[in-house]
Amino acid sequence: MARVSGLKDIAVRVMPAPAASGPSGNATAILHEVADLLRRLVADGSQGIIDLRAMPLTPGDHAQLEETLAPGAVRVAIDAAGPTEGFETAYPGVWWTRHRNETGETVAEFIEVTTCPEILKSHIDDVRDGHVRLLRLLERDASSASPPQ
Amino acid sequence: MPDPMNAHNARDVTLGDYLAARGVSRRAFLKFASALASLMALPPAMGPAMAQAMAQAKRPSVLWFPFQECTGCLESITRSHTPTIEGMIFDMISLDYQETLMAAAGHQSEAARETAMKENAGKYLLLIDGSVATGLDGAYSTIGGQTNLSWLTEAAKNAAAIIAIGTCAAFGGIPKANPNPTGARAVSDIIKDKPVVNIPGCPPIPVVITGVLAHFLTFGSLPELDPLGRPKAFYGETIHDRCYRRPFYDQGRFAKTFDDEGARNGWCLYELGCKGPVTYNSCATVKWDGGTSFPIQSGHPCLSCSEPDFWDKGSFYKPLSVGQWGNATTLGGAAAVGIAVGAAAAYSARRRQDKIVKGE
Repeated sequence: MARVSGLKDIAVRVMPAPAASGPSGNATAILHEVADLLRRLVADGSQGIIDLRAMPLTPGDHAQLEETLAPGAVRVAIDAAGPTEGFETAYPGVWWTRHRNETGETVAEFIEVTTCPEILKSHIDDVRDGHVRLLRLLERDASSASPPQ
Repeated sequence: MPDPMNAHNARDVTLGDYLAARGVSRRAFLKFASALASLMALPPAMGPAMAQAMAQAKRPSVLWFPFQECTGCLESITRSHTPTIEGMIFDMISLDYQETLMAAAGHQSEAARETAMKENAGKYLLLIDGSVATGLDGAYSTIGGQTNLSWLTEAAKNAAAIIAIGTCAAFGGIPKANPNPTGARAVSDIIKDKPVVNIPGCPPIPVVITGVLAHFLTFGSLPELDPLGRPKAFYGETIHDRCYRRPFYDQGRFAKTFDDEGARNGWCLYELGCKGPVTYNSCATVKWDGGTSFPIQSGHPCLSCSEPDFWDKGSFYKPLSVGQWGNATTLGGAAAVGIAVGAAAAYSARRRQDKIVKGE
């Protein structure tokens, strides 16, 4: 038996990466659901969300979704507890949003069928807080710029 | 209105005000709630509703008692990359006692515990990690001269609910392994008149702890539990059900050693002892280390660390069919959910392993 005296003596066989899994059919099902949610949005304004992380999607499924729901006219970037990126797809009213934490890990990924995703809207509490901060700034500036007596 | 920046009265302010005072916007909080709803398998539209409800909630007082444990459960949650979803647990609660984390020690820490229990009687959450020594009236494990057993029974009286973190607290875990010299018991073996949520795992997945707390804040109640007291949202399916290697099980493709062709190709680890078919946990979906991987993805069989008595059920490296794991029903159930070739493959695997065990 050959004597092994170091790591270099251990035969390493490099294996090619397995081929990416093809479409399973789940992407097509999701696209039909998106079409139905669009119908409802047009009919009565009701919004819908599909949680992509809850679906068993193969890389092929994901590629099919990305190809079909390609970016349209609007792209957004949000910096709130980590980056969130999103875009309105080529189908108006269908948004793709991906939330990441501050280490870049994807923590949620949604297809939202709505005129505007909730995360883009300013919450009234944040608006109120911003208003107070702006007033304080103006007051401070006004006091520091008071004319000489 | 209480000052949200004042730590002393931080329990009296809403979670929304508390976070706003620390620069966390409502938009960031909505993102947190949406991600949490996704992890908890709640309808995605619940995100905004959860954010609204949690923002209005008061931060509950939490007492975390470590008993017969290795601190792995606490490491699990504190060593996760921050700031993350699971890291927000420390913003959601007022952690009034955790002797490993708190600055106070000795009599000061005991005073903090007693004060928190008195001021929040009937409202505090009691978190336990580690099993409870009951031998010699609990004398095998004491803190400050008092047994873990007496701490638990005293604190449980006025707790709103108890959360048993980790397999040791949930099921007795490794301290309870044969011959169980300390008489280790699970929390639920001792406390019978309070709701006990079990979050097993060695260690448990950090976000599961956050999820249970978020549910408590959002709905004012504990999440739906399975017969072993585990939240169904995270323990509703087996590792096998959600394993990305499952198609190989269905196709009858198994790794037979840790360095054969099957192992290199990432085939099913059933024959190498994987306990995924009888283990209820979220490792295959939530994963570990910031969503990087989980044991099976790293090429190792599931040990079933979140199931009762996992340590005493035979070798980790023998398939389910030859150990004490499962029985004809559980194995049959696992096979039944696969396609026919999967069942045949499982039978074949069982026979092959029988031969290995018999040395044939």
